[in-house]
Amino acid sequence: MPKELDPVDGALRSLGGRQWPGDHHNIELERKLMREFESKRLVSPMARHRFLVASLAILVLGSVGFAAAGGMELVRGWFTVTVEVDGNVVAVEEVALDEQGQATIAFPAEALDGGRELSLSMGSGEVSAEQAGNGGTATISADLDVDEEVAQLRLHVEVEEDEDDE
Amino acid sequence: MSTVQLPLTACEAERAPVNEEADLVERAKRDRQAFAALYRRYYPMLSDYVFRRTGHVHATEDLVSEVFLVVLRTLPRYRYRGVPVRFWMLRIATNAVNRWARQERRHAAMSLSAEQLPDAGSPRRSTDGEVDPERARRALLSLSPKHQAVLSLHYFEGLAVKEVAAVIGCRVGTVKSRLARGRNALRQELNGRR
Repeated sequence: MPKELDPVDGALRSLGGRQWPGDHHNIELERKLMREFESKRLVSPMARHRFLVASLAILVLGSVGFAAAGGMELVRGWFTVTVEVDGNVVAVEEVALDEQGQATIAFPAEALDGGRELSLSMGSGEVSAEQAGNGGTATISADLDVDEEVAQLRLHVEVEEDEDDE
Repeated sequence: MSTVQLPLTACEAERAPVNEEADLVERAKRDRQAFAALYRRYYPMLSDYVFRRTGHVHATEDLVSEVFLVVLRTLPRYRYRGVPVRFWMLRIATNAVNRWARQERRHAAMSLSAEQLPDAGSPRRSTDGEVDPERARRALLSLSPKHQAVLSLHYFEGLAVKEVAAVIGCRVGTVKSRLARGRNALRQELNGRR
């Protein structure tokens, strides 16, 4: 008696045997790609990259007020950052700043493929500056570096001391 | 239907000489004719892959178009390191189809109305033991996109487990585990719809 085919193998075989029923050469799409190719040649990749980084460098994640005493020597902080590409969350990181007030979030560069908008949001956390005068404001900004495999968001915290009335 | 070029499946594309492929990719970064050649070489393979996963003609056209636009945009960053360019393209296509699949799941498209079904192209006639293609398609689309992806790449495109891992960027063990879980989920779905 012939052995019955496993239904899973049957389903996979039936789907795997399908072929694209349309033409194997889409001239409309080729023309569209050629137009895109020409328009992209007008802007060099480096210029586009600089523009992207410049756009992100001025992106302010958030400002946090802090209070401390003395001069600002050491910035500490932790907070949650959510990275979204076109509304899809690609990374959620608990960020801890180093002594220079910097931190890096890495995620696969492929998450940017086809994306139009990258957004960052800052969740709960705190930033403090040791030995600061009357306290002040910490401003958190980011820039983006992309290589073949990995996208890295570098966060920077700048602290601005409140005016001293003394 | 006129065919101007023989379709190149993922397996057949593997036979393309490595040096020639690397050379074509490098030229395609600067030369639009070379990019057109790259497009013509991989359009059939990508259309087959996307169509096998979606079963929708219009969705396939849109997604393949999206994939090639991403290829065009990101090609300057692509560095040929011996990994076939088709793996890179399959990765972009897999991400695009996964996004589409998530949207479909969100919109409860698993309960497609009967009038949408003819859009699924021309399903092969079932032979001994084969499951009705439309039922199989619905069952596959009900799985999580990551399970759909490994099952499709392994069983439809004929890629080895190691190659699937290279395409989706994870470990071989992860692919094996997803294949096993994907098959179990597909079995449950097929049983549930009986």
